[in-house]
Amino acid sequence: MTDITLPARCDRQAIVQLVDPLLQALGQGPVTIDATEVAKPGQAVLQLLLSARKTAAELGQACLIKPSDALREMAAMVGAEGQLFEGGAA
Amino acid sequence: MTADEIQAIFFVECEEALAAAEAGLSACQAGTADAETINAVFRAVHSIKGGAGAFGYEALQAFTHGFETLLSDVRDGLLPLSDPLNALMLRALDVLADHVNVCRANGDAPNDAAILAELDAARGGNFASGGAGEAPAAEAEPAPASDGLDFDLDALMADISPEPEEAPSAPDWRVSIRPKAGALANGGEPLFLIRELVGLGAECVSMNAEQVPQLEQFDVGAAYLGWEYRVPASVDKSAIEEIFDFVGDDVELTIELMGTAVAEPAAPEPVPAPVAVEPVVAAPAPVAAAPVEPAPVPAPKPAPAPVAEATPPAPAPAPVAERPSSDEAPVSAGPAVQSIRIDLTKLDRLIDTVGELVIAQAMLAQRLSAQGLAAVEELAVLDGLTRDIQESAMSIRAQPIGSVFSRVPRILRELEAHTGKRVRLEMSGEATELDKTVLERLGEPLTHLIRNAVDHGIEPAADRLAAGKSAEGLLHLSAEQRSGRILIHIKDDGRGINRERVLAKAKERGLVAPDAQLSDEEIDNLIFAPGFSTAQQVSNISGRGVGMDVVRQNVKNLGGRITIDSRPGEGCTFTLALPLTLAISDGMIVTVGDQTLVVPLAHVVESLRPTEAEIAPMGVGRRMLNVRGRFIPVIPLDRALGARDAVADPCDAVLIIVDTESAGQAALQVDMIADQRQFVIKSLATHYRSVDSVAGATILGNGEVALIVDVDAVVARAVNAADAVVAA
Repeated sequence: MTDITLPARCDRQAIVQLVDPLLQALGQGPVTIDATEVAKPGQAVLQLLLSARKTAAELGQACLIKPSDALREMAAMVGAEGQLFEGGAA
Repeated sequence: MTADEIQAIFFVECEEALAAAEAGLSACQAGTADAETINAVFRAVHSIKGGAGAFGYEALQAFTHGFETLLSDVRDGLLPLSDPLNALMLRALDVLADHVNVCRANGDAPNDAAILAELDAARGGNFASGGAGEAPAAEAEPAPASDGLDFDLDALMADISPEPEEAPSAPDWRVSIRPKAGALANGGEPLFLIRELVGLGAECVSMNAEQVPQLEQFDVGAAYLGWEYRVPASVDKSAIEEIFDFVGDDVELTIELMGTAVAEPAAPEPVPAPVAVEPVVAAPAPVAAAPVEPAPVPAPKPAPAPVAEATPPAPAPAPVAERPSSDEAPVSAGPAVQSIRIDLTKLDRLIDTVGELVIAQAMLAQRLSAQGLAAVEELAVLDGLTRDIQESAMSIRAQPIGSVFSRVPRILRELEAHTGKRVRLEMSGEATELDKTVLERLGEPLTHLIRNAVDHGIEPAADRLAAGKSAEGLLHLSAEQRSGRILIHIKDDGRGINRERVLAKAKERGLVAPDAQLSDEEIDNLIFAPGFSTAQQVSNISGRGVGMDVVRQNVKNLGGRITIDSRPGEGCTFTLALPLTLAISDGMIVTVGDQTLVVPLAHVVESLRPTEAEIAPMGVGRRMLNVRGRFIPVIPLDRALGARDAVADPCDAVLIIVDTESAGQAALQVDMIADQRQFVIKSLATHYRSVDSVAGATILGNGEVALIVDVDAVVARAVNAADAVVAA
């Protein structure tokens, strides 16, 4: 199980640097994305997380997202709770 | 452009919007408002709201929403303008300005719950909790406040009363949102817009994430998501559209009524496709649209009958007749004035270059003159063109002083609240333009002077009435351009400067000798002395004894001067004389021994070569010049600035009579006046260090560097030194 921690400020620059490590980690096994610090989640980070979940599903890996309150609230607002937090196990 | 840069632009736009709103609301208060005035206020607040939403300033956005809702009612004629309403809107504008400031400084949002409640109550015509304390006089309704109930009876009654029978639930709006990549670029954040939509009561129906690729193909800059939201029918369609105004065509937006197509069959007319789908993408036209026919799309009608009935929640039809819709351009027939926003550093570079051009032109003129070609026509043309270019460049930086004046009503409102005095504000010359830098630095001294006028000048109402004046004080601000300078007058009709008290205080503080005999003007000028204050007690408005000193220093730093005209019992006028620009000025080029110096023309009164009879010796090595019966000190500039081999006898030299801030008039003794021309001011502090008695440097036509004389400092130093000698 690899843990990948998202920074509090997940802007484009931060996301660019997360794509490869996430891809690599998912190639090796289950991944937990620690997003508990994410403060103001936007569409970019939402897309990254959805892409990670999609990739994980494709690879047959588990991908668990630990959300911050802000992320959970945002996910509820945009109807992404199911796709982000449900299941996630391989 | 970075997100921070875009945000900076947003705050600049906020300032402009606040100024526009202030002007509009002031017009409402003055009774000179028309439909377009209130529309302009609405647009200003609305544009702040748009940006606030885009940048995620939720508190600001929520407040603007509340304010805008009230303004919308006023604009639509549902709420007539009245004194209490005007007062409330002005207070709301103050809170809005606070919100903007807080967002800019990343501070805590101001507590706006009370004013939001007032705004809400005002929509029902209830101003009871307002601060103005005036009853809604012209209101036709029986005043509900008189029964002592502290709730809005009208609103309650409206809630209880049976709904109009055609309440069968209207279909909700289906709003489809698909941000494009552009919406994510430059710090944009579509989710802020969605949050705003949710604030209107929207609920997410579905999120479409089909386009989200796997990480291998993931592009951080791309937008992959789309949403469908359900928005209650009670929400005005325009309110939904307004949320997305700010992003233009970066978001694909479709708003339609849910189930319209199903409900439609009963429609009497066999209209082919009555689905009221309006793609609201704000682009003027689809870029790759069919080149010929605009296609026979049944023009986006306001939708067929049942819909029309369901939408208007407004109780009365309201006089919408000639009112332009919220986003329409102002009603003007002429072509719109176009403008662009320019980075100030680019402009400064242009001004610098123009300064160099002025210098180069002067050098060329000098070179040609040495060749006996001073009169060539081309040189005169070049001279004219250079001046034109310079004036044009300066005019780009010039802005109307109204932008500074527009902040004054708020300052006054706060002062009125603190002091309990009532002050009427009059302004004139708001369109007078001056350099942006001068304007930016003008705010602080102007604020000080206004505070001073209200705190010290204008008397409490009782004193005014006793003095036969109206209870309400008058503050008049005016600006005018006169002989290359801007004059700003701050005039009050208060008690004027109490010279006896000022002199007594100055003596007490040792600012003047106990037996000093001062003229009225000199006494008035004492209020600018460092540490001087006659306030009985220190207030948070003024009275710390630093204000007026700082004012004079600020004005002086701007290359300007401040003068006082006080009439006991009648009031006081402060006049600021400011240069049009800080970059280029007019000056006299003089020679003093081995030095060439520049005396800024703003100080020069006249120049003369005295006769022996006009020069009177005074003390050791001092001379006075008799100017038409008045004696002023003669100050040899060589001594002041360390030049060598200067003409010693004033009768062989030239005397330039100058006016100064603090030391009255004096005669500067120079060898000769070589020229009078424009000069480009180069800061000595930037290139070397600041030097006492020198205001800066410039480059002359012959390429030499000449120092610009700090006339105030030179005269004040010479006079003070002489006083010290006399005192000793």
